[in-house]
Amino acid sequence: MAGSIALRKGPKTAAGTGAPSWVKWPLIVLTLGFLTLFLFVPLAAVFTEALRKGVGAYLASFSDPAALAAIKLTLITAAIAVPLNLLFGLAGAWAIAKFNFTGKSVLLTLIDLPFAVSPVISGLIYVLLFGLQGWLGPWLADHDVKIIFAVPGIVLATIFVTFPFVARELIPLMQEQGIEEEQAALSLGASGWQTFWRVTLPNVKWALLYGVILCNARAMGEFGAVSVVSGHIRGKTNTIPLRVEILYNEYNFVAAFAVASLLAILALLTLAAKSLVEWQAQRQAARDPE
Amino acid sequence: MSIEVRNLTKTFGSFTALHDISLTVPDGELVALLGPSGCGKTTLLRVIAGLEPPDPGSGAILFHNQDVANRQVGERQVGFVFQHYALFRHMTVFDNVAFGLQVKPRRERRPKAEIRDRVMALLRLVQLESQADRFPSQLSGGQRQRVALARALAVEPKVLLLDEPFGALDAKVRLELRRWLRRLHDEIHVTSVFVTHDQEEALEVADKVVVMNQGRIEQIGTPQEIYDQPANPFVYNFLGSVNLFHGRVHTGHAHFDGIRVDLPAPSAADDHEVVGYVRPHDIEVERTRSSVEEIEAVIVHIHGAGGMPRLELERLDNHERIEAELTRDRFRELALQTGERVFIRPRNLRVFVEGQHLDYQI
Amino acid sequence: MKNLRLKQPSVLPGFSLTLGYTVFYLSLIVLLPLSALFLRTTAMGWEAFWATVTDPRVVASYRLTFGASLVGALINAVFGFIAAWTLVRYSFPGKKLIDALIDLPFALPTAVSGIALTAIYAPNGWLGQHLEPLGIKAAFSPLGVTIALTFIGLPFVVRTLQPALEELDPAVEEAAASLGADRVQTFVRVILPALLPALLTGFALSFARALGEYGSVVFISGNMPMRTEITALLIIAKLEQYDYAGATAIAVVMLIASFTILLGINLLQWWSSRRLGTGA
Repeated sequence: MAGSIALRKGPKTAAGTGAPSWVKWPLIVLTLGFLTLFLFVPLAAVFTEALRKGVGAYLASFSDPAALAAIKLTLITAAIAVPLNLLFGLAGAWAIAKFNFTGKSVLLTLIDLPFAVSPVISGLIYVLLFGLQGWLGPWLADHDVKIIFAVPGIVLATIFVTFPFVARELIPLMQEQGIEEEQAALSLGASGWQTFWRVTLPNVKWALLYGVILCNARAMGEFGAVSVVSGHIRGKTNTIPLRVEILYNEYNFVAAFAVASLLAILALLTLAAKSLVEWQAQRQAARDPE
Repeated sequence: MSIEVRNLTKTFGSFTALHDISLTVPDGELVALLGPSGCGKTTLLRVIAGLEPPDPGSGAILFHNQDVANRQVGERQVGFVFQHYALFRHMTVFDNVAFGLQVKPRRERRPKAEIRDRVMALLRLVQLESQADRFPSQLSGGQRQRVALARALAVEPKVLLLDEPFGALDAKVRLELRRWLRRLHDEIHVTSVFVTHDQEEALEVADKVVVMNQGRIEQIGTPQEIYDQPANPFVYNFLGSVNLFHGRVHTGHAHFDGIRVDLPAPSAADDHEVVGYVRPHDIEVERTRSSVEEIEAVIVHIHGAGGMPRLELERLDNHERIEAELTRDRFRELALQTGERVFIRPRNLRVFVEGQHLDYQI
Repeated sequence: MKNLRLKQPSVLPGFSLTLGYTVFYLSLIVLLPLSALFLRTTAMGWEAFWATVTDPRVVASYRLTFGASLVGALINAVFGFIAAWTLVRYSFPGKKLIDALIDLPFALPTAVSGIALTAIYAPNGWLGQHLEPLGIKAAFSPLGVTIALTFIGLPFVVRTLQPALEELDPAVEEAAASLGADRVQTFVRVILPALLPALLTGFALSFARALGEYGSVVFISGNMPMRTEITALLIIAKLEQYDYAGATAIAVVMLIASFTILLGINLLQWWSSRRLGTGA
């Protein structure tokens, strides 16, 4: 997974076999060139386009009620999806990392499954279940419950897309930490809950935090899956990314990029949080030579 | 509190870690479980603690004559010290030791100040008062070991169980800490069981040693009994270096090349192959022959350093290697050189036939 | 799922509860909805299914999606390797910042990447206006699709290679040098083989991610039938015409392709961990 925390060591070069500078600098320049083209230019484009008509126009984009509604829906979606996947991540990591059972590797693969599914298909499967022509569609229509082209569908699709994030951060770390500390806590008379809250959880707090941040970023930014289930009802079922698409297709570029800049800031904050968490994990590892 | 284990069996899949183990640890004793790695000693300790369940329907574990099979690890009132200490890495030394007191149910929990006093008293006991605010990773191995011990003692366990308590320490700290543990035990007298693979450690520290091999108990006894009267070749071998003499029983005597041992009674082992075991310090070395029952050997190597200088010898008759240890005085007196011929004679030869002990001769 | 049981009893509590919840939630959110997709296709009949998935417009979309994903993944394999190498082996100003930003394509919502890339490569865009006179049409062409798919796959190669590069024991290179190998020989015969599993894994992850991508492509591709329509977009197009069966059929084809790659990645890691004793 591109997002998981890795402990980084410093640059390591074999003494006496270090690259000569005529190899080193062209490689650095090539790297910088490639990354500038593919990372910095697009990022800069978002903010430049957003501010093309000045700060006033930029800020005005957010006073639009439709934009505010989109922000609100995005926050609601994340507020439901993230805690649910957090709970799942904790339960799954506890079962998988702390116990040995048959079928574990199958379970691990199945948890990763949503990563391999195209966002569009992630939305489609819920349409097939709950849409008007879907399995439960007629029953839902009879009982006047709307899932597809409504908020519940958006939440469901978001949960699916962000499903593995917390679990994938926790499982490897908890497997590595083993179960001795938990056994020590139990032998000292702690209950299962006390052991979990006082020993297990503090030991994985940074990975947990990072998993939640990543899960949240993806929940707020998901486009494809949400686009399929939303039905684009203006001001009602638009999340921020969907709002960006509408504004862009209406040639309202400044507003589109202004709203998009919110998501770009969220992405930058996520990356900053990742660096912070990595730094913390590194510090912890330095304190813990074993 | 006494510990009794009756007919305990434990399997992992198709591997039997413990075969029908029975063992009694009297109240207040310090007992060592000694054996090579994989012999089941750690498993036995963990089953006693309640960290591993025994096989369903196999045997019983009694603390003070009460069956504890249905008690969870936290309810058994055991203090367990893990091999790699299992200190809570995110807590300070103080919090580690206080943990067991803080997680007690509210009505049993002591007031904060009292917990604090108790923790500090324990830290004084393990000589770590000044380290209370440090994290485990900031301590040396020996200090961590003592924190683990203080943490286990905090809950006032009726039984203290230690898994390879000195296994991860370097030689000098090991020595200091095991003497300290012995003194501590003499002070607090809690029934204790520790696991070790180091015979020296077991013999020096424990009141009683349980020698284990391949999931079975080979011998139980005081250190002296175990060392002087090993029950079988395994125990003999495991407790230190040993020289082997191959021979045969014939009409009430065991015959080895050049040596004859009287057996007390006419034995069923007549005409069987036997093996005599002799410790290196029970090999006498002479420059000149003083009796016919001496074996001629040549000195291959001399290890002169240390309290007991060691000789590597090769028998001239069958070219087998013999190891001998001399006192320093004797070593100086003989003034031996490599390549010299000497005459050796075993004292305290213990004779076993096919693993069964026959008798020994002084 | 019935066979999920403990190999050894454990003193830790909560196994049944947490595993039960895990399996329940997994089934509800992932397995049940996914199986709906496959069941839907079986109801459709083979003939209709085949007709849908081999429709020329759909086949053209496969060609574009697979082709552009492959080219994007290849570009990432080459430049991702160079970037990972530079970031691990050399130190230069701004390295930390660049290292942190590598994950941007992963963190940036796809819709935002989509409009940003379009703004850059459109005929009147930052770079597009300089490419246009050279006769290069970047946006609204297969090239644009490739650019978008390269962008979103970028972190995968770098991030799988970095740990592998860090774990490479410098003593191995010193050993090669002491045996008389020059830098190029050392690189080709010692370093590259050791990194190959990680490189292949990164390439496959990048390729798999590109296959299913939607958001960052739809803006820059222009969505012209037969020319710049990706497969994910066709699924949405079918859905908008209420052709659920058609959308499902195409989705099944894509899903099988993704799962095959996922299986390939797992096999690759299994193979490399057996061969090298480490995960890729």
